[in-house]
Amino acid sequence: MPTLCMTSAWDITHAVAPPRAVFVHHPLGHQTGAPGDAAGQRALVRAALEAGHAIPRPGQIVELPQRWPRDAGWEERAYSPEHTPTGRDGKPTRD
Amino acid sequence: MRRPGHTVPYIERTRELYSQQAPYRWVLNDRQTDPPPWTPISKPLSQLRLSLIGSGGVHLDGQEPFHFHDDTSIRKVPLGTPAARLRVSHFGYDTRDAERDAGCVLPLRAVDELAREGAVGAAAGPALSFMGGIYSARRVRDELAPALLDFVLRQKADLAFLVPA
Repeated sequence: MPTLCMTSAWDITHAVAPPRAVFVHHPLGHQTGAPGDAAGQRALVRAALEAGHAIPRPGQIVELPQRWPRDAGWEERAYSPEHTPTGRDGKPTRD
Repeated sequence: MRRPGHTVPYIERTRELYSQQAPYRWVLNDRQTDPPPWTPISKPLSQLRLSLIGSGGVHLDGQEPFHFHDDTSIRKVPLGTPAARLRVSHFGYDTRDAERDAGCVLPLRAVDELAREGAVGAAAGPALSFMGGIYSARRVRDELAPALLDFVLRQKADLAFLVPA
């Protein structure tokens, strides 16, 4: 079964090494767009499907040019001690 | 392939944040010795039947929420579900925006619209949703993945479109 992975965690995706991956440089929880932006979500998903469909060989991670339009500097805060979605059982969170 | 500098080092930050606990054994597949499996896509995008699979913990209001102890169960979520009927159960990411609009992590509406306008051939059936915060890679491999594959094969999909959260 052909698969295509639309992801916002580059390093985890690289470690897992799926056959086809399209990377969206958005915070986790926003892989397919911003809330309330139906047109933006549709455009982003379409871009991911088109880019993923064109991947010619296994293991590639293709990055889309779209950038998260909010929260400048979010990369520094993601999974920092002050901005970690703590697991409700107190264990590390991961996906 | 090196991690591009602008991307977030989630594995490294998770190790630092939880350094007091036993280290999590991340799945690590060596591309050199164990290349990813490859099945060519047989049709143009406009003819593909697509199964949507997401690990963001989205479910319907009437369905049992996901629990947070290696829950490998799957919820079927129809693409045309009104937003007000969608819920999110996940501990591993900030779910506030997904609770407002699940389309941030499970593009039900986007895939439905792309199918209707002909950009993709068809949605093969309801989306398959699970909660990706599963500690046991073995249970993902031995329980969840085969169950997902069974659903996708029964949907007669040409492509499994995966959205990890």
